[in-house]
Amino acid sequence: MIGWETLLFILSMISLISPLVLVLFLGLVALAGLETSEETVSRFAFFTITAGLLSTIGLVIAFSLGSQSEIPVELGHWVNLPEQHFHFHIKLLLDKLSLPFLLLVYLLCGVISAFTSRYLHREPGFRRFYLLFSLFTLGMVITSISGTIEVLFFGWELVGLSSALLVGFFHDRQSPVVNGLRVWSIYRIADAAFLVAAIAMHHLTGEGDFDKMLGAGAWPTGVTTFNATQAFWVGGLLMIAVAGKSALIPFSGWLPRAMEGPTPSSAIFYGALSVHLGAFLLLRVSPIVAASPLLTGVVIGLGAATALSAALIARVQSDIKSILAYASLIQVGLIVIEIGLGWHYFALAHILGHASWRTLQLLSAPGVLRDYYTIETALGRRLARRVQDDRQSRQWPMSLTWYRWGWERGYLDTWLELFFIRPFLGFFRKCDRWETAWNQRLTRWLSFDAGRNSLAPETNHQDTQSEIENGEISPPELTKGPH
Amino acid sequence: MQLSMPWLDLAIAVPALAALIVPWMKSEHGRWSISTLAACLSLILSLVAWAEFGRLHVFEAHEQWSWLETWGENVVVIDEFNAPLIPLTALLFLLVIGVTPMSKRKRFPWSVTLLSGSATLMLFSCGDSRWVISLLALQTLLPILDLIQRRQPTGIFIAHQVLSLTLIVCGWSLLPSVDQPEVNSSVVGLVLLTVGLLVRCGVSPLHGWQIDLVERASFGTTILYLVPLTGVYGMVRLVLPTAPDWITQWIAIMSLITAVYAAGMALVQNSPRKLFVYLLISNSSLLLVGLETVTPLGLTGSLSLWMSQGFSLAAFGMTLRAIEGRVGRVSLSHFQGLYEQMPLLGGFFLLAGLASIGFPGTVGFVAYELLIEAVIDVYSYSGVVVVCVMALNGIAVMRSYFRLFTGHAAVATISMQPRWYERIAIIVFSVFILLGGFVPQPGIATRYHAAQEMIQRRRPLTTLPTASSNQNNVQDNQVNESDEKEIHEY
Repeated sequence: MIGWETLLFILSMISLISPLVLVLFLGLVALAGLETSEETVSRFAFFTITAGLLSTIGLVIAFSLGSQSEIPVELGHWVNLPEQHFHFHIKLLLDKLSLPFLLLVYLLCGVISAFTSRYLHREPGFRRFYLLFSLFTLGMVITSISGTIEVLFFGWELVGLSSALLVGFFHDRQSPVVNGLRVWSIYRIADAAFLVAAIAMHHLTGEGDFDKMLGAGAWPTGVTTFNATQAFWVGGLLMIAVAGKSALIPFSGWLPRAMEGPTPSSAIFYGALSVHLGAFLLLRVSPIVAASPLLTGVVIGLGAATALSAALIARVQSDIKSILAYASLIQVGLIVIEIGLGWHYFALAHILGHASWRTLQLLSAPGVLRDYYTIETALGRRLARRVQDDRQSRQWPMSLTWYRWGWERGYLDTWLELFFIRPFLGFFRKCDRWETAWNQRLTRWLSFDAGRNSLAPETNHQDTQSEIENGEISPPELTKGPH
Repeated sequence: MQLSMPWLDLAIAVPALAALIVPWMKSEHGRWSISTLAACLSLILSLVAWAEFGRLHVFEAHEQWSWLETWGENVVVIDEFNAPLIPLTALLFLLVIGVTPMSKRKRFPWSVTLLSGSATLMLFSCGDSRWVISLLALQTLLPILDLIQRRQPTGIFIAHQVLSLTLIVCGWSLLPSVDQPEVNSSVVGLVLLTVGLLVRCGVSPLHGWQIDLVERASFGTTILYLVPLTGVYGMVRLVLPTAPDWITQWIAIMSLITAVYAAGMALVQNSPRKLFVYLLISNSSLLLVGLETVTPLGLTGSLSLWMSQGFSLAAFGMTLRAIEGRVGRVSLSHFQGLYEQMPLLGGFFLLAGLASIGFPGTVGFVAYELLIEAVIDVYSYSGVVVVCVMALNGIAVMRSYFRLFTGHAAVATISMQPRWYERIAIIVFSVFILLGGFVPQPGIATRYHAAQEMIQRRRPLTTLPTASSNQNNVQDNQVNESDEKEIHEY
C-alpha cells in the first residue's frame, strides 16, 4: 500500500518530469540529427503533457482532501557545501498558489500543443517549435511549484530563453529576430535584478526556502522576517524582475514585439502564461510587499500606470494581435493592483480566468480572420464595417496628443532607445573605434619589416559597408588606414 | 604520495614525439590522423593521472619514474588545483587538432601545435615557479610562428609578451629567498609580477594584443593560446600564495573594470572573432575577481568557472571556426542566415554561448552563483556588477547567434552539415555542458577541496611596506622562513 506522502511525491515528480522527458526526447533527437515525423512529435507531446496534467489533477484532489495548507516535497540538495552554509536546496511547494497555477500551465500548454499540431502542420520549424515549447512548459512547471528562490530562478530563466527564441521563430525574416533579441535583452536585465534579489534574500535569511524567507505561515498568510527597509530594497529588485517579465511600465515595449512569433507562442506569452509570470512571482513574495508600505505604493502605482497606459494604447491599435496584447496588459496591471491591495485570492482567480479567456481569444483570432476572408470571398465584396463615432472622444482635451501617445505606444521604446541603448552602445562603439585606431598605430610603430598590405587585419567588407550605412562611421574615416 | 606510473610525463611526451613524426608524413590526412591520435592519447593519459590521483586522497602527488622531475622537484606535480586542468587542456588540443576543417589542413602548423600542446600541458603540470615562467615564455612561440607564417605583423603581440615576461622575471627575481627576507623588495617584486601576469591575462587597457592576435593569427592558434588561461594559472601559482590583501583587492578591481568593459565591447562587435575574445576576456576577468576574494566560496566558484569556461568557450570558438571553415570570415553586421544550412552547429553555438554566461542547467551556472555569493560577501555591491556583466554577455551571445544563424535563409550548393568528427565533438561537449549543469556536486566538491587547500597553504605578506610595519614583516618572514621556501616552490 502506497503511503500518502509517497503518493504525493510520485505525483509531484510526474508533474515535474513529464515536460523534462519531452525536452530530452526532442533535444536528443535534434542532437543526433534524426528525422522524426510530425505525428510522432505531437503524440509524444500529447502523452507527456497529459501525464503531467493527470498527475496535477491528482495532486489537486489529494491536496483538497488533506488538511495541510501547504505540502513541501523535499528533493535534497543539488549542491551542498555545508561548511560554507552554501546549498542549492531543491524543494517543491504544493500550496494554494502553486497548484492552481500548475493546473493552469498544464491545461493551457495541452490546449496549445493540440492547436499547434494542426496550425504549424508542414511548417519547416515544426520540431523546433515543439522543442522550444517543451522548454517553455518545463520552465513554467518548475516556476509554478518551486519551493526555493533558486529553483524558481531556474524555471524563470528557461521561460525567458524559450520565449525569446519563440518570438524569433520565423527566423528567415529579420524583424522577428530583432524583436526576439529585444525581448531577450529586457529579460536579461530583469533577470539580473531577480538574481541580485535572490542573493540578497539568501544573505538576509541564510536560506533560499520560501517558507523560511516569507514566514512560517502558509501562503498567503505568511509574515516575512524582513524589516520595512529590507523588504523595500529586496521587493524593489523583484519588482524590476516582475516588470520585465509582465511587461509593466517601463518595459511594456516588448509586448507588441512578441507578436512576431506564431499564434500559439503569442497565446502562451502575452495571452496566458508568460505575461502572468511576473504577477505570480509577486503573489509568491506578497508577504514582502506587505511588509513595506512604500513598496506597496510602488506596486499599486506601477500596476495603475500600466493599466492606464495600456488602455490608452489598446484603443488606437490597428491589428488584432496588438489589441489583444494591450488588452492583456490592462488586466495584468489590474492584477498587480489587486496584489498591492492584498487581495491575493482575487488576484489568483483573476490570473486563472484571464489567462484562459485570453488564450481562447488568441487561438480563435486566426480563425475569425479566416472566416471574414471566406465570407468576403464568397460575397465578392468587403463586409460593411461598423464605423466608430469618435466625435465625442475628439472633444477631449489634448485628444490628439493622447491619440499620438497611444499610437506611439507611450513612447516607451523610443525613450528606452534614446536614453539608454543608444548612449550605452554609442560609448562602446567609440571605444571600439579608438581601440582599432590605437592598434593600427601601434602596429605601424612596431612593424619595421611588415609589408604595407599586411598591416590591416583581415576584415570583412560587409563590416565597413554596414558601419557607413548605419552612420557609425563616416566614409572619410575609412581612409585613415595605415600609410 | 606517488602515482604508480609517469602518466603526466607520457601525456606531455606523446604530442612532442608526434611533432617529430608529423613532418615526415606526406599526406594531409596522415598528418591529421597522427596528430589527432597523439592528442587523444595525451588526453587519455592525463585522465588516467587524474583518476589515480583522485584515489590517493592527498592534496599533491608526484610521479614514480618521472624523468622530467630530474630537472627539479616540482617540475611535474599533480595536485587538487591542476588535476582537472591538465585533461581540460589536453581535450582542448584534441578539439582544435581533431576538428580542423579539411579546407584548413593544408596550412595547419601541425608540428608547432603539437609542441605547443606539449608545452602547455607541462605548464599546467608544473609547480616550480622558475619552470612556470619559462614555460609561459615558451608558449608564446606558437602564435609568433603562426603570425610569421601568415605574413602578419608580430609587433603588438611580441611587445606585449616581452613586457609581460620582463615584468614577471624582474618581479620573480625580487621575491624573497631564504637568505634575503627583504619585505620592500618582495612587495615590489610581487607588484611587478602581478602587473606582468595581468598583461598576460589581458586586463584592460593592456588587452589589445589579444584582439590583434585573434584578428591576424589562425583561429585555432588563438583558441589554443588564450582559452587555457595560462596567465591566470601563473597568477595562481606565483602571486596568490603570497599576495597581501591590498594586492588581491587591486587585482579584483582591475579585473572587475575589465570584465565590464569587455562585456560592453562584446555587444558592439561586428567580428565574431573579436566577440569571442571579448567574451573570453570578460569571463576570465570575472574568474580573477573570484580568485582574488581568497575565500573558499570565491575560489571554488572561480576554479569551477575555469572548468566551465574551458568547455563552453572552447566549444563556442570551435563552432565559429567550423563556420569560418565553411563560409570564410563572416560579419555580425549583417544577418547571415546560416541556420538552414547548419542547424546542429547553430544549436550547439547557442548552447555553448549560454553555458559561457552561466545559464541555468549548464555547466557554468553554479560556478557563477558561487562567484557572485563570494563577491557580495567580500566586496558587497560589486556583486551587482558581476550580475550586470553576465547580463551583458548574455545579450552579446544571443545577438551573435541571431546574426549568424538567422535573418534570412542562406542558400548553399554543397552540404554544410557537420562532418562525423565534428558531430562527435558536438555530442561530447554537449554532454559535458549539460551533465555538468545537472549534476554539479562532484565537480564543485573537488574544486572546494582544492580551494580549501589553497587557502590553507597561503602565506600572504602581511601589510603594505610602511615604516612601522617593515620591522614586523621582517620578523614574520624570519619566523616563516621554512614556509616561504615552500611557497616559492608551490
